[in-house]
Amino acid sequence: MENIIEVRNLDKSYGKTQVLFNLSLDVRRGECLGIVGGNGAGKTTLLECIEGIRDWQKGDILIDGMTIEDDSRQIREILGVQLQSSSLPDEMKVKEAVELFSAEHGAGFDDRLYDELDVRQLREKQYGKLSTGQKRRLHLLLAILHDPKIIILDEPTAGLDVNSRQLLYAKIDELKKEGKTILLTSHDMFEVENLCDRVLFIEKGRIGRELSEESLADGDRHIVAVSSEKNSLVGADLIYSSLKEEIDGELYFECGSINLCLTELLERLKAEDDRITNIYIKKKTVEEELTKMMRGDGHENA
Amino acid sequence: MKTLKALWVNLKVYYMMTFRNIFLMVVNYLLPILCYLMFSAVFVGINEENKKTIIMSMTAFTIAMNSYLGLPINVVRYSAGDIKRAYIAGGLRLRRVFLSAAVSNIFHCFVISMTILLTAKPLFGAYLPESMPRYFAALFVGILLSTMIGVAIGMFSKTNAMATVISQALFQPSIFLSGVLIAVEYLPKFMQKITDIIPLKHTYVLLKGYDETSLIVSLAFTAVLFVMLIIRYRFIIRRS
Repeated sequence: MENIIEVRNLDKSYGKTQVLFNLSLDVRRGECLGIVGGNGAGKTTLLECIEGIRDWQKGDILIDGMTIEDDSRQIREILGVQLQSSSLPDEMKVKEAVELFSAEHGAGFDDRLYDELDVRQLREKQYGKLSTGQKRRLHLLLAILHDPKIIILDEPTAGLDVNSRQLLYAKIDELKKEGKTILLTSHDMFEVENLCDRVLFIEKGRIGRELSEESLADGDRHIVAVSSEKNSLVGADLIYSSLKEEIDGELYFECGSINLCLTELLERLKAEDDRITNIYIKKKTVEEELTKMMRGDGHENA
Repeated sequence: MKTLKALWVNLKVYYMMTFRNIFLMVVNYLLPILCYLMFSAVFVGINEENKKTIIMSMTAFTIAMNSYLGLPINVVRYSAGDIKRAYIAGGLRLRRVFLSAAVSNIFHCFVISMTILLTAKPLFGAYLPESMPRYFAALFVGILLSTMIGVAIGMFSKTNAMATVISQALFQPSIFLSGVLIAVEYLPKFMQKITDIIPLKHTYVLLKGYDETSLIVSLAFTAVLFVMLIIRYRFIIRRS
């Protein structure tokens, strides 16, 4: 699959403070890439560089083969952006915002978007009188009304209630099915895990870890906790299971393939004539991966 | 066609927003009209001779009020902050916004100027300008110059507070040194020299009658401001 966004060796500083360090990443055409990290990790700065809002000191960014310096207008036509903190004049009506953004892109407006994002009843309302969720939905609408190829969403569901989130998830899902490329940041790991095809972790301005499409799929990322009478699994030479920690006699194994992992563990226990006293399996979440990364526990790709 | 349509929509939306903004309505219409009525009553009451210049002085005063006080606050929100970022990220051209703000202000100034022109004689016995075509030409130059000053204040300010301070810093001296409220001849000699660099003074002079020096100075100010605004605009839209 070809890349639609390429970032190469990006360095970005605010004054004397460097926030991105030689950062490189690719976004494949048609994928939904999640970017996660702690506060101040550089997620928003990275997105703003890609969006063409921020300048950078070193490196290159190509969007569909174009650079922001040379092809700014063409890039704006294929890019739809929902910023983390976005605003419009308080006196502007929703329908006026839609009209303005449509006119600037020379795009005819598909009226159905009002219903898909549940903003039809807000058309005559002024921006300053909208709730947070309503503003978010409006900004998403403004980001996609010109049918862009690439959609960048910076914390799209921050501050939203459950209903608004579900609405946004449904729309993002639909955009994915249409083949749009989506770049998404979020502090909601459930959202990232369920919407994204691939997840990149950013830590202190660097790409720390990647969760591939395969490892995000169901059944492929699990933790198996086992305790046995003879504790024979300690020090065992295992291929499909990786011992991560031992807590109160319970051994925590990280598994790539759950089937192979369990088979291996059970065979080893049987070979040592050991009996299980307790076993449980849980799926490893993106949140756990992020927490681990932020604690500084390992940086291999999954 | 796309460009024209986008510009038209910008103008339309911007204009409609002005009428929903209470602050702008007060600064663009209510305050200028109140000041015009109050000052005219006072000046004409003090000295009948003021009837000869009341239309010109009040027009200059209200143009300055609209442009120096109201316009910058409206412009500054597009030159910094989240609205600016939303516009740029959304592919909107900020120059259309600034142009819409300027055109909208020109319209507001024109409406107030016409209100003064049409009501000053019946209300205060004011003398009409000797030559209407010359008067309207001077009005256009004056409104354009004041509008560009207002846009410049907005574009060079990073916050509302900064715009307010700069606006007041320019408005107050302009009013007192331009001859609008106090005749220049009554000012101390050294201050009379200073008045030559006050754009509003030249606007007032032009409104009273043709003056080659004031016309050249006004056009020169306009040209310099235009260049400054282009340079500033490039700075505003650059990636930081």
